[in-house]
Amino acid sequence: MLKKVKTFHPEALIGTDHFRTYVESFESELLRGISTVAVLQIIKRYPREGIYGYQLLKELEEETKNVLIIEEGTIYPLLRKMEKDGVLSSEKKELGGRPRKYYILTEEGIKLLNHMSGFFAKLLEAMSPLMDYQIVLPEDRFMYCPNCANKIKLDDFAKFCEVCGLYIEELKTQGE
Amino acid sequence: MSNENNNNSNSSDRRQELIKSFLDEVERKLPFWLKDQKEDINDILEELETHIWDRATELAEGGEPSEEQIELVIELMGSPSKIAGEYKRRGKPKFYITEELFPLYQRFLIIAAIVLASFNFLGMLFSFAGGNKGVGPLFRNFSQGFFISFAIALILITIQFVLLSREGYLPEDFSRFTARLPVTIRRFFETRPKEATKTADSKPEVAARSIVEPTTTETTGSVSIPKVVLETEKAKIVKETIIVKEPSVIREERRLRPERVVKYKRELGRNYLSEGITGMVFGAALVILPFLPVFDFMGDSPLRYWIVILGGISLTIGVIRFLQALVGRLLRLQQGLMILSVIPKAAYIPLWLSLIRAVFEYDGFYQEILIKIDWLVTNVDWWWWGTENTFLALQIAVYIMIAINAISILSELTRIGRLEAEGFPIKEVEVYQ
Repeated sequence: MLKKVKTFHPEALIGTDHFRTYVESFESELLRGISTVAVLQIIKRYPREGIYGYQLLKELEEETKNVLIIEEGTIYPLLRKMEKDGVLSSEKKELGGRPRKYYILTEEGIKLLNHMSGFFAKLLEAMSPLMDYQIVLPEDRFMYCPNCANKIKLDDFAKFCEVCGLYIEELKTQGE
Repeated sequence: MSNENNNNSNSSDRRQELIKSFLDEVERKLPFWLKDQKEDINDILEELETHIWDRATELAEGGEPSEEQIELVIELMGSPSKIAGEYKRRGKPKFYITEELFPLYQRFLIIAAIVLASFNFLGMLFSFAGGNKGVGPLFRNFSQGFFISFAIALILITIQFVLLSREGYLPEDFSRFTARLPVTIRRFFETRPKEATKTADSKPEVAARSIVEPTTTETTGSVSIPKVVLETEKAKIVKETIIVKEPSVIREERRLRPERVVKYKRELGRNYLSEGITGMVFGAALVILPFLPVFDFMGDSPLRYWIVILGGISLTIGVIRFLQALVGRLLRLQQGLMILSVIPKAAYIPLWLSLIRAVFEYDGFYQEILIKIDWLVTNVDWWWWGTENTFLALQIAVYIMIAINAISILSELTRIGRLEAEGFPIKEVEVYQ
């Protein structure tokens, strides 16, 4: 993201290579995990037909109002890695005269995403006293596994957290 | 009109060229282990190309994108090194060697330590038999020789594994070279839990069965099937999701199908990685050891240099084998390296011959061997053979070594020819039970 930022004054912090690199690498480290969650959240919206890379990037840009920007070419290694890891599955279809690979979340991918988004939400909440923002988690609809932060629907019938296996039935009724 | 057509086709060629040169650059920078899988490479490049055209068409507001627009999109894609670098991002970093490669790294170090200790021990035994020194200095020489040679092996092996980690190699990338090896050697490379061989369902279930009561799982509209776990080795069941396309509806079906059993039909049958690393360690040890005190028993003998040459050849072959493991299924490069490996292999022949006769008008090794044989026959009581018989035995051994070398060169040439004629051997054959 910083790569697109201009330096307006030579004395600005990012005017020096050292700090520009520092800020850039901080951004890219932070974005690496977050972009995985964001990408999976978008893929989740297309459970049946799937979504192809370009469409996914467009949606990501629109949804995050051009804040979360992934270098376009690097989305494909990420998708391929997740496919190899069994998080995504893919199917080739042709659209507009070009072959496209449509990505869909696997069963395990859905579970992993629940865990990732739960963990991310709890992390943001935990950070809030240190930062100048407030986070309100939708705890009327979801509970967050006290062991692994997995996001679980309250109206789910599951008695155990499907990620770590913690017995959660009683916790759910307490929450309600 | 025709001018306009010409301009259009020129511009279209130029756009294609721009995209092609970008894709070529990405392909060139991809790691070797990935280049091995041609279909995957095509998929990757095809996806990138489609993306470039999509973005460019959008910039052109649905019209034909211009050269400048294509250039802009290529710039937005990120640099080829960065894209290729993302593909290399595999394995958990542990120091400079990934966690996945670490057990293999440790095993190679242990083997190197055992081999080097044996070499040094043999050197010590010879010194002892020659009555050169007392036990104390001999032991000191042994430890000194071992530590120096192991330090060198450690550096060599570490450099190789750091390189492999940086390229994103995982132990399974070498499986193509180990598939036909005996099970015991193959296990050496299996550093990961064999999860892949279990059924998809049985994994979580084993742990969960003890605590999970049968619960009603959520109904999502799809047909839920009972989980099947079979204890028998054969005919395991795995779940498969198939998307069945119908004119207007996409319906998801779940079926039970027999697990795919993969049988290896034919393989290269060589393990170039371990040949490479052991060749390099063995070769380096032979090059260095003769100059350490542990080999003092050899005095000024020219045989010291014979061992150094032997080590040099082995080191060269090791380097070539290691490169072959990295190159994988890049046909021309693999063949080139195979041809290259024939040269040091051929160099073994005059080296062995030099032990029993003059080679290239040099008879230093041969004369030295005669002296050693005389010394053995006269000094060692249990040596009941005469000089002539001992020399004959040596000649036989040398000719056997030369025959082995010649066969190995011929088989290398045959493999090059077979690669040319048949391509790479079929990696796997699917058999359904």
